[in-house]
Amino acid sequence: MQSEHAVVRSGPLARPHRRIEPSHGLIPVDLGELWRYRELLYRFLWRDFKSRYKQTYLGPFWAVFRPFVSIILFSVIFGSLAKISTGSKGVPYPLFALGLLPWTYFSSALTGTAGSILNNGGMLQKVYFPRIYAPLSAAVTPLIDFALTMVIAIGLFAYYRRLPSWHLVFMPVFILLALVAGLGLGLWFTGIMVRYRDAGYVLPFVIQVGMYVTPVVYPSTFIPERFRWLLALNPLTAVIEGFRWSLLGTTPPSIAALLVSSAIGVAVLIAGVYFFRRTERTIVDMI
Amino acid sequence: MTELAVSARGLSKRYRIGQVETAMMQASRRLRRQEKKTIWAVDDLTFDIKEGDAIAIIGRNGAGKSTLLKLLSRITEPTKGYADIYGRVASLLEVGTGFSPELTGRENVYLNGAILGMNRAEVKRKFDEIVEFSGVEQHIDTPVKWYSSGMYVRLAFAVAAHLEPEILIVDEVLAVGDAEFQKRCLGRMSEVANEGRTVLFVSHNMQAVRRLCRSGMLLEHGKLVTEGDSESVIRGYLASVGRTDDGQRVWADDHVLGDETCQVRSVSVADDEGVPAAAFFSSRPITVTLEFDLATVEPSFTAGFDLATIDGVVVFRSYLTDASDEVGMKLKPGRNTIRCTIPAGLLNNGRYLINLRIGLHWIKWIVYADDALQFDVIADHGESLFLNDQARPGVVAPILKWDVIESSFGQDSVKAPTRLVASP
Repeated sequence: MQSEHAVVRSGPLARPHRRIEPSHGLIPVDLGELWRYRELLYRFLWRDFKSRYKQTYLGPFWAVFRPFVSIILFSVIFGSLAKISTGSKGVPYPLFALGLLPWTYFSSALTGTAGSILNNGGMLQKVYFPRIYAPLSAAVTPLIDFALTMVIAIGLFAYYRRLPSWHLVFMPVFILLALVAGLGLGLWFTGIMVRYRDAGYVLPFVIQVGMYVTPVVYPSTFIPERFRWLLALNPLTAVIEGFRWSLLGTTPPSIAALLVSSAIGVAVLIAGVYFFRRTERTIVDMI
Repeated sequence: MTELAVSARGLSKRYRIGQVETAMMQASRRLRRQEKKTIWAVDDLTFDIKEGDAIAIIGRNGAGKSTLLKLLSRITEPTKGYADIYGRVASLLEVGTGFSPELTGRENVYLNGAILGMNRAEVKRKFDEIVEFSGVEQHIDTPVKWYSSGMYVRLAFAVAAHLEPEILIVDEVLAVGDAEFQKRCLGRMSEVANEGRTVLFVSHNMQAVRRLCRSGMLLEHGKLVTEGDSESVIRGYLASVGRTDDGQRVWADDHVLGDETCQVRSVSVADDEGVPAAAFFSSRPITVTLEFDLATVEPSFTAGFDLATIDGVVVFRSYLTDASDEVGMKLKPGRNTIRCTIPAGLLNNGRYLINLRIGLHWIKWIVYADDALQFDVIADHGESLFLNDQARPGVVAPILKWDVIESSFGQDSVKAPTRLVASP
């Protein structure tokens, strides 16, 4: 009876064949498989968003609340007390401090990505799916929060009776770069964190220091000219400066700096993906 | 002509023992010039599985069954060797993998489907069928955190049951859910096997293995010990898990049955004078004695057995805690001996099996060991000449109370006890 089935159904050529064996060297990314599993990204996003504010009274309000308080604090400390110049005429510090929003997104994306494998450990040990969807969805989910925090920007624009410049259409590019950088760096962290939980202790520190070496609370013109090229090595510089430019029309980042930043961001991501491909083979053995 | 579905050659997986080293541990190990400790969880396995076969993978805990399934379902990579897989694989190592408590039943069906590799159209097409199979229609839009554990498991299995892979890999998933549900799962899996798909099935439930699989592989310490028809593999397994004397089975320290909380030491069947035997007359009670070691006493702990026939029909299940939920309080950490009596005059001629069932009520099985012990019964409990002179059908042969309530003599019928007739 079985042989009948085998004959009725197609021969071995029609059945997909896969060899399971130890892999070596650079493991290519199976794009076809990623496409077949694309539904996962949407399902993970929905799951994470829905679970994020479960049993909270104010729900997504919290996504807005924290950056809002930070903006006020920074405006008082750096704007009013330290009197840091925003580097552009007519841009009050509170508007300038909106640069915190993409930074907040970046740090959530990075933290989420870094912990994605450990957070989904149980599932990874029980079923196969392209592992990269765990970090990828963790990097994309905070975009929802980011969109919500734009309410703060709208509020501040209304308060100062301003309209954003037409540069706004470029904003998605800079957010995409934030995603690329957050995911790229996060992939490195998740690969290391699975083996050495030490990475979990390093990460908050990296984010904290990162905020001060990136022109988030100060403009890049604040840094002496001869050191400014150092800022360009940090992809987040382009993200924050670009975001502010697209929203407020402040000094745009130079094209060269933008290209360098983006290239570094993309390089970190590609290297991160390949590093992740190497670790994902046996990632569950270490969870 | 039958094609291969799985073909493994020297498939091996090595694990490091212990945790990831700290810098201090590494330094001290290097000073002592020791190698890292490793274990081959799956050791040089070579086998072929034909398309359409239903194969049981059996072995004790730690024999490498789960690791083998993880390798074949691509959850982790082998260290050496390879396996060729022909066809789409779906693995079901757990029901409800990735179920999220905050999501509704409907959302979880889609999420779980996506995790198992189904696309949206596929899930959509089967959605009604899945919900019907699960029997939770009314609650499909309720978050699953409000589900009872039974509903949860039924919905989760329903999704997996509607996968259409060429190769289905199933781990001990039947250990959850009630008997009715287990029957449905098993039924569904037989269907899958009968559709000509290949099924790899890991279970400690030998009855399920017998029903589902014609052939099997016995693993021990990561190595393939026996392969062949499932009966002989099961026999090999039973021989490896413990030794049987007449009416008694003892587990040695190196063949532990149980987990760290409860370990079975022995099970025995004896007559009413306490003499263990392999055969009994049904006219006298049979006692079943169970000895086990407990680390801690959980309030939901219970121990007992299924009495089954050699054909796998369960005659009854009996637990220590059946008559009163307070009996369990008498258990103490350390060695416990419990005994129950199967009354005289119940069992029929034939061979019976003791399937050990130890666990935490509603939480988990600790021991689910089929065929722990066998004994024969010779039915002799009737006074009547007509009872014992022939093989009577039936799993049990109780003597029920019969009355003659109406008999006639000649033409006049005489109504005997009139109290059964409603009086005007």
